[in-house]
Amino acid sequence: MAPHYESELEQIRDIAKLYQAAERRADYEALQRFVELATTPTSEENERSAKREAELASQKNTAAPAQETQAAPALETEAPASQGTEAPASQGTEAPTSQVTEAAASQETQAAPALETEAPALQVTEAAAFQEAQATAAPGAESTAARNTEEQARAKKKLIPGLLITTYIFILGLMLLPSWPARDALIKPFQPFWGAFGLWQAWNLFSPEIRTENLHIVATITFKDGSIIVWEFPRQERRTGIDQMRAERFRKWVNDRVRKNTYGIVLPDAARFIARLHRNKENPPAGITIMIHSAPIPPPGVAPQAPLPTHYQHKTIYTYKVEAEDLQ
Amino acid sequence: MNLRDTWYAWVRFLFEPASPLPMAIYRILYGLLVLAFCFLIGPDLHLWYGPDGVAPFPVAREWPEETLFDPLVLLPQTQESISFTFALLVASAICLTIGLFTRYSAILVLLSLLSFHHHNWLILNSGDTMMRIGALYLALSHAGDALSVDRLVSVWTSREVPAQKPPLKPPWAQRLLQLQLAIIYCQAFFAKIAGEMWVNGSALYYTLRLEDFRRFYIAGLVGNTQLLTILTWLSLAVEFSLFTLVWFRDLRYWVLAAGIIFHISIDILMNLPLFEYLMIIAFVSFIYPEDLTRAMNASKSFLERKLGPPSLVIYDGSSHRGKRVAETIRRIDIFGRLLLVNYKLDAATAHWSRLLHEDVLKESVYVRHRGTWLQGNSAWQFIVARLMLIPEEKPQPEPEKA
Repeated sequence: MAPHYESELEQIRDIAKLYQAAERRADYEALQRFVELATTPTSEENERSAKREAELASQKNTAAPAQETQAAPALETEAPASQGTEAPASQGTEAPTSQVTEAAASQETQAAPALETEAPALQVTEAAAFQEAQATAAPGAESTAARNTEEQARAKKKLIPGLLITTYIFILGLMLLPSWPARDALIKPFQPFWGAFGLWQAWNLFSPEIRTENLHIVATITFKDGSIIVWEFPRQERRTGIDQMRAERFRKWVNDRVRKNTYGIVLPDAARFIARLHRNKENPPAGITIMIHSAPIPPPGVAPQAPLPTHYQHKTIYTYKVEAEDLQ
Repeated sequence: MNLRDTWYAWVRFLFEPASPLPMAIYRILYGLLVLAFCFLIGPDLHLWYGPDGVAPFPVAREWPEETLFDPLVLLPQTQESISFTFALLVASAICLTIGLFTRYSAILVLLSLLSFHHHNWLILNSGDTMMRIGALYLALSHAGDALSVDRLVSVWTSREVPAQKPPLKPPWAQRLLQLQLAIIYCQAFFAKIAGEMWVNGSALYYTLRLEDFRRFYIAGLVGNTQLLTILTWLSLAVEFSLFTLVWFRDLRYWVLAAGIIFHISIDILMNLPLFEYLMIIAFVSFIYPEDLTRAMNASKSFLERKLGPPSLVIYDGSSHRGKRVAETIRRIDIFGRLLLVNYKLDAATAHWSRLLHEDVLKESVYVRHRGTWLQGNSAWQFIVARLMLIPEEKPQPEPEKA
């Protein structure tokens, strides 16, 4: 597992070792030297660091409450640096505490060194805060209170979005429940929007019962001169691969919609579609008959290894007289 | 826990800032599946949606007796309009995959899908429903904040060098996707146990004998009724876990693994084109971002073992342009194949100049390759090759120093 690096220098140091292992000695040495240079303080930086440390020491000796009040700004100042921003340190507007911070800031992504630099200040501040907390209240009480306040503020701010999302989930749940009077009454006002924006859904696939027969559907087309041809809808079991995936739309249309004549409108439309497919000016189609050929699946326990029967049952489900306008 | 605490917990679940990484990964996988959808339906586009196709416009309008949002009706009812909308869908799916104008791309994908779905409802399956809902949640999410061109553009145009990790954002769209998945499995489970076949264990026996659904026929499995009975009940158990046990952190990955096996098994045995994949990719929403980061680190580590250590690239970090270039490369380099080092670090500038035998380094980047330093076009070609995971030729061992 690759380690997670808090600073770029750490990563460079590790990769230098990989170069060494891969017998890339020159690269190894180049990086090692770079890391050395990047972490070696200059005299100017040393001075600044010493000054900062002296300041920290004097702060430590002063009253704890004063330090406590500084804790938040210190953390705030640190946050951008920890995210790799180049802000104050590289611009030199704020005295950095050590050369490491400078190096890090100028490299833009040196989160860890920057944090390391600030660590003493934070430790002092936290220690003071802790002492204060011990003196005044039970440990942890303050942070719990702060957390509660934060949560309250968030809950208040997010009241309306939270309620909207809750309502959405509630309606979604209701929509998927079986129909009963109270549920139907509750969803009625929402139904038009739900349908209009495509939120309608149903996940009762292969349930509650499963079809127990295999089938395929054919159409016989009778032409004006009395000749007849049989046209078979594409059959999935005769297809494979991508071809079969593409034809899934046909399966849905034929085996689910045409067979069940959904909403009573699909069969006439399917007949018209078949008539259009066989358009012929001299000898136009005159009639379409749609038939189902099927065979029940033998129940479990009756020779489960045996091949499935051929579709030996036949049923005419629709006959359509083709009009001239159907062929337009 | 009282009512107030419950509400706080719910608000925290929905809005506590989190990494956009799971939704970003979902976005990429989802975009690829939309393109697969386009690939499958493209050749039959006019058959299904054209004015002379299976369901001409007046028929499509007959259902379901309510207003349907279908931007296609605003266009003339011609083949060209269908082709135009399809081209729009393909273009927006590509943009969504790469994360270019992410939110707008997701909205366009949603509108195009709504158009096609509402234009011919006769051919829709559950995969289409899942695809449509996925687009909605992506449009509401911050999926473009990570692993995206949008992110690169924001890095490139940013005045300050942005954080290495994408900013944390309220993950409520991701939570909606999680809840949506739970609701799907909940309905699927209860609808199944309402029937006799799933309870008595014969459901898979019949399902695997439906010829029009069959993809691969495994005789040893289909002929073994006892095994099919056990698998029927196991399917119910997996579906039950996917809306209950999946919420427990310790069990989550086990449940998701079972879910993946469940969906892949269905896909091998049955032809339900994209549905299973759409469900599997939505599982990403359940993966904790820190685990995704860990997985990325593991893949970096694996590549390191296979392809060797990352290549050394030094760049001019003193200029704004140099920084932008470096930060952009850093974000494209998701597999960590490049080590970017700022050569304009005060203390080390002379060090790099000495190594490159140059008084002043002028190029924005130099690349170390086989013991030499590349610059200009060769450096850029090298960088592009590494970003595309083309392995570097193995260098000759360097002679020991005297």
